[in-house]
Amino acid sequence: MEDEKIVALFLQRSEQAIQAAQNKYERYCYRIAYHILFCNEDAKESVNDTWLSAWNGIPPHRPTILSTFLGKLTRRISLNKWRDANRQKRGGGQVDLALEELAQCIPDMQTVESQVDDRELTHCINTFLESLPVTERNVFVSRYWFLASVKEIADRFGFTESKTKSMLFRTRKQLRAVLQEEGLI
Amino acid sequence: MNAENILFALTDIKDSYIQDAQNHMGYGVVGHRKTGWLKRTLLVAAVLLLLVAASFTTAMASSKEFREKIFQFLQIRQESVPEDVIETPITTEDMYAEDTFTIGAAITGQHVHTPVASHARVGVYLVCTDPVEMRQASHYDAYLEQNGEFIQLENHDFRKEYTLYGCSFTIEGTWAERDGSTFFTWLPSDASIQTYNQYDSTQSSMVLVHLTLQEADGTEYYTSYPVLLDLHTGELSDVLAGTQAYTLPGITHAAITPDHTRMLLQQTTQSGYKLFCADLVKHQLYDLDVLSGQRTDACTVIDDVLTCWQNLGDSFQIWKIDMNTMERTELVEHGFNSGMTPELDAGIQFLQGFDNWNHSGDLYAGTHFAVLVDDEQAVSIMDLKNGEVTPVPGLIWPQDVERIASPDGKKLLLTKPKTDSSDAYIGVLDFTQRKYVEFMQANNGPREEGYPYWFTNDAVIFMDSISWDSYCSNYHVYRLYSDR
Repeated sequence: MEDEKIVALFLQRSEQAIQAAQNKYERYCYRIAYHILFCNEDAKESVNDTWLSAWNGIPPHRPTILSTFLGKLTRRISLNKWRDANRQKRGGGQVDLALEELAQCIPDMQTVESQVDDRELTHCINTFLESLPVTERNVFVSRYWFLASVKEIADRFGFTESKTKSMLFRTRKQLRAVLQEEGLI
Repeated sequence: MNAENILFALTDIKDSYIQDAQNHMGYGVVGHRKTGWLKRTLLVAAVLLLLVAASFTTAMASSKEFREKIFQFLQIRQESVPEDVIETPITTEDMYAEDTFTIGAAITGQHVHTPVASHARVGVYLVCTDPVEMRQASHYDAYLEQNGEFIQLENHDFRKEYTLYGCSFTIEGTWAERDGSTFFTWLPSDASIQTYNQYDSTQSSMVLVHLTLQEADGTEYYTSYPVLLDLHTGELSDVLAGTQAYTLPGITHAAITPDHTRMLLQQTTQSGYKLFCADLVKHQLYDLDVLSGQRTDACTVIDDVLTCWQNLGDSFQIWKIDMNTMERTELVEHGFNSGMTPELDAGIQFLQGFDNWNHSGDLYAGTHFAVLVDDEQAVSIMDLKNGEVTPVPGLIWPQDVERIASPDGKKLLLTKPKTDSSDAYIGVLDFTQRKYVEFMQANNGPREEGYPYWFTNDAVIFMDSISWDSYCSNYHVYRLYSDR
């Protein structure tokens, strides 16, 4: 079923919207959730929560790109779930590794208490991503949005793992510079 | 700020960045990636060939317009996509309904045009007309269509505080009434009350709702506890009181008989589901597995008779029990290779899947028909009251169809959405008439549409198309005349 029709079903409050979205995007959302949660049951739960969240979000919203709309919902839900589950103890999965890597974007003296507006940060990251060459941007988003492993990214892009890591390292360094320039860190 | 902030903030980056990475990583969607990639590859090859053959290289280099068109054709994104969310304007000025076609003698088709953010249920159209309210998804007006005119029904506010089992909670929402049937037009999404389908109605002012009960400290200790709510008086009836049903965690479905004397309950756990029948007069709760001595896969209750269905592995069994005398009678038992097998999913839907066999969701239990399919896929109807089996002429059971029973449980909608390889399929099996009407038509019927559902007991509705430029929905309503 076309995305527009699925969105229309949501707008019309037809329960079939969930079924249609599930048929088309379950695998996509599951992959996003699993990369974050590293647990089959939790990932499935996140995906199920995604449909409910979409149900509550449309209307009033009307997403123009349904896949990324649902993907963002899944990512947000899964990250929250991950945060709840890992408040005391960190587990496996790509999130921990990604966090360690992203920590390099933050100066050592930076504290958790230094809060920043999420939207401002997203805006800054968007501007940063726009400035990147397409390949670097795709590798960065694959790693830190989809939480794909370095090996998977290397395989997909036809790079060596070493090259992929170097590319990510350079990109993180640039991001750190941009964040500093914008006064966010 | 810490790394977690960055990780979370990344969620809302531009869609185009996500899509690009998604494409590179091969994170496609079901049924699209392979064919889409193949088509794209073929298109690229064809276009490249064309370009080389016609020596378009020069034009590509010199003409920006030409270049952009080629990029557009190849779906190469040059600019970022628009914002992922836009607001939807609403107007009821253009609402209309008109009879447009007939299919044979038994069906008339009607075209209905409503605002895009509207939906149709229980014979009425629910439209949110206030943009401010719509942003909160909190106010729908109900319209009844009569002879092409839309009549707005009165929308009642409802808000009342209750205490049950030591828990205090508030139920609020709006509701409307049509021909003596009440239904919610709005419930807050974060409410402690749920209905499986809030727009479905009973034939009275009573609605079956499910409560989430919480301790004063917010600890949730019972979700989905079914009670009856009278929308006229605000009276909440704990019909299960005294049955010990309160001790069952995880009740996910409930169905009550029209006379409110019995309720079927489905308890869902990680290992599967169990079925119970509560006698609301004697205040007894029966575990159907215990009652039958075997696993019960499906059940229904008609008057004083409880009917159960069991899959015994190599055979199936349908038996009934008199709820007054508790006398058990075997209705039918067949081996799966005996030439007559129950359509398993349909059987389960009919007997147990409260959501499915009755689009009134969990309102009434009481259907008493099951579908049997033989080795040749010919269909018969079994009347569960007496075990009588009647063949349905002209119906070969379609593969992989979705089955939805009408609100009164007397008809079955068989439907399949359009796929790459087949047209949409829509037909109605009338149990009382023992008759099947297939109304998939090539010219003036639904061609591409899937997901129809019951509008009333005599009409099926489905979305025909969406006009995004005018933000309108086009519905087709098929009114069925079984007696013609």
